[in-house]
Amino acid sequence: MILLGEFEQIVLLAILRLGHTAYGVTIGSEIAACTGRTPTSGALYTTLDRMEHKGLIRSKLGESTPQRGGRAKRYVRVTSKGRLALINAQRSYQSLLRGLNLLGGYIDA
Amino acid sequence: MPSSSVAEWILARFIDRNRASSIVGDLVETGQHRGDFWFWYSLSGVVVAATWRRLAGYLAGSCLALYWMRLLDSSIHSVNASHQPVQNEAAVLSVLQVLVAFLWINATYSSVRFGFRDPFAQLALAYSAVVSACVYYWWLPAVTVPCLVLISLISLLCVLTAKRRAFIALTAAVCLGLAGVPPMLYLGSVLHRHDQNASLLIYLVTLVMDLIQSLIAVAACSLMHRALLERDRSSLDAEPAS
Repeated sequence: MILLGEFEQIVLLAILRLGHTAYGVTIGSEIAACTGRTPTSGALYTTLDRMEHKGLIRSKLGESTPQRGGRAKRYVRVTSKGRLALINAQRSYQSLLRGLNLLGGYIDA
Repeated sequence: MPSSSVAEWILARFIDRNRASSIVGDLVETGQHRGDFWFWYSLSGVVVAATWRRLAGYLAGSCLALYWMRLLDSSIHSVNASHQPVQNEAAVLSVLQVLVAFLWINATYSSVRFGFRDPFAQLALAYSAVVSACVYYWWLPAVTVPCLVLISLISLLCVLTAKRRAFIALTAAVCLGLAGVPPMLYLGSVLHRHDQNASLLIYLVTLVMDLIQSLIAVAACSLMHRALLERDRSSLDAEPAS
């Protein structure tokens, strides 16, 4: 079973939210919009690279546009292995949250 | 942004060209709203993130290799005065001493760069530990014989299992790295002939030569790892747009 770090989960969730339009710029914007934290370029691209190496995501080159200086976008999508790793990680969080009411304080299950 | 091609060239020194191009494209797209300073700051962040493991692995590997060279030197020639090697033994042990140094460079560099789960790193660490113990206790058959058996077993297991490719990569990396030894030895002998007082300059030049030798070793390690263990990844990079 592949264990995911917190930032890896955030990036995977952002890619899933974006669907077919997920690439470096949109992933960074989505994370900033949802979490209020703008990821640094170094952290984002290293994480994408590492997750591709682990087989959690796949990438393919897309169209190049003039505003990018004629450079192609690298679109990414989550693989079934990545989706499974994310589900496992989220299940762990759900188990830990069970019995807790964070907004209203601690309550017994 | 006219300097983006310079940025792409810089980044392509550290990661593959396709990836560098798409990352610089992303930075250009975002940099239009944020300015030149942000662009170069972000680029330096990407370069640091892509290279710090290599640099740390190289420095740690070099230090560990030098440490083992000194340690084995004392084990072979100084400490066990009652077990001084005869001429043939000394030559073989000197070769093995260099081999241990190269194994430790490969083990440390690959562990830091690719992680402990990497088959190349695991294999290099296993060989480094066993061969080091074997050479350190070269005069003690109770240690050398089990070590030799272990080395044979590891090699056999590698050839028979899925670790075969890691075994070939490690062997090729060590052989490639060792190819740089004779020129360095020749340079070293020339230097010592010219300065027999062993001045500070000689010491520094020798250190630089050791670091160059380590650089050759880690370059061979990277090359073999990429060529033999990262094939699947290369095919993903080449995947065309749908």
